[in-house]
Amino acid sequence: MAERDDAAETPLTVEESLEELEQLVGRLEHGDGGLEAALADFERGVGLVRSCTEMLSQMELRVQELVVTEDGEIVTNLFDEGDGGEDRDE
Amino acid sequence: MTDDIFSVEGVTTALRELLSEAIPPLWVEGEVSNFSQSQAGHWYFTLRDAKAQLPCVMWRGTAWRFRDMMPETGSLIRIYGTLSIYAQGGNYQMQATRMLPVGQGALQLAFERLRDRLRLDGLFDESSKRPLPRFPSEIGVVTSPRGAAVRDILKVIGGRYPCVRVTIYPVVVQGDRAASEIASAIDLMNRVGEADVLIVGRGGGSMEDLWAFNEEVVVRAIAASSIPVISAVGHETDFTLADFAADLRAATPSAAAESVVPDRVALGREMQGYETRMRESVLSRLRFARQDIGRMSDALSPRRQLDRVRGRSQRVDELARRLEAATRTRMVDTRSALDALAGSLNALSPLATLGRGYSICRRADGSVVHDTSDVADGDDIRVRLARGSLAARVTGRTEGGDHGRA
Repeated sequence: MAERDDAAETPLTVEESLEELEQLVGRLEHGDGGLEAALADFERGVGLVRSCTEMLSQMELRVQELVVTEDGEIVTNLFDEGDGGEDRDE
Repeated sequence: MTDDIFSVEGVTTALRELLSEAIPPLWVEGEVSNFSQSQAGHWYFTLRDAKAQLPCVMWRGTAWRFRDMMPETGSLIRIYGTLSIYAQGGNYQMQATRMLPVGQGALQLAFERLRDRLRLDGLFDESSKRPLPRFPSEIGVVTSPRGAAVRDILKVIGGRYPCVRVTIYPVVVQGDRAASEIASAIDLMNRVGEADVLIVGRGGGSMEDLWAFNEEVVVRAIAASSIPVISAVGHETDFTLADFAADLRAATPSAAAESVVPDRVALGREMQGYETRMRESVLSRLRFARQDIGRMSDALSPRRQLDRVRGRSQRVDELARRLEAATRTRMVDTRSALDALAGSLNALSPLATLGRGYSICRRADGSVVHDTSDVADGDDIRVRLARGSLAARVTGRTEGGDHGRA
């Protein structure tokens, strides 16, 4: 299938993976298509579950800060949670 | 002494400079008296307390922004602004740039007026609410970078779904600049950011502390945002106008973080569920296929073939039996029909006639003699009687004659 080649190039997002999984499961449970196709679907589905699980297992949240400089330029800095912060809102 | 003569204007200018250096912009609280609105739309009033009074002005543009809290004589308010000298009048006055009614009742009234006005403008329409993305890839957060809110939000998102990027737009969330900073941050996020959902908020505080989130610029910025906005202001019990305009009102910053991302543990379970379902359906497909193969190979086995031959021959036997039985019945039927026929045949038999004394005369070839012309004199004939027969010879013939007399 052509879509499989695309998928190999750009990994699907969690959302896209879930959508496709839903379709695969539906197709498998309806028993559409031959056994060969079912096995291919299954293999594809297990691959999606694996790649999603991998994506979800990422541990570190990426946090950046948007800052407008005096020249009106917009830059992004890494956000340092600890920068002098105390409990108060401003 | 003659060197140091000031013009009147010079004194005024010197005083003005002194004032602006010595006294930065500040908040003043007092009771309103002599409130009036000029033709041009400026507000003039005096703030007073028991000991003193302070003339104030709020210029038209600012006054328009605060029209929902237009004070009356006697009401207690806080204004923010700078002190300046009114040169022509020779007096000083305060130029107010912000205003807050004092007291829960007055604040509430201002809140309700603004709410009603913005509602009429359609800023809170349910129909214009945008759906939140289920799987955002970047989350924008407009809040104080040092508040409890930002820490709560990052903690919750980091725990639930760390596979996103969070972009924080730092703003002050209370005080003079708060409302305009928050509004322009929302605007900027829409113009340059890549966030697909925004959280706008702060931690808890008094109604005055949260007031920036009731200001029209903020409410309008939220309503105008093409990125869906979650408001997260204060605690569960705090409602701000930002909440009404937002696409989702979260009770707290933590709650906002919970509603902005899915929970990866739940997602993992969902995926495991899919995997289990796929596994089960494939396995059952395989089971069925195996059963099919079993059935087919069974059908083709020698034993089954033999069984089939036996089955066939048994059938042949049975058919033969049935044929025989049917034939037998048929024969019995035929025989009895024959008997009946024989009976009726007997009734018609000439033998019975012979018994009554008649006889049958035949020529040598066996043909029955009906007429004297059938025979010639001297022919040998046989006469059949009821019992036995006679050999005779024709010795004479009588032509014609009656039956009765013969």
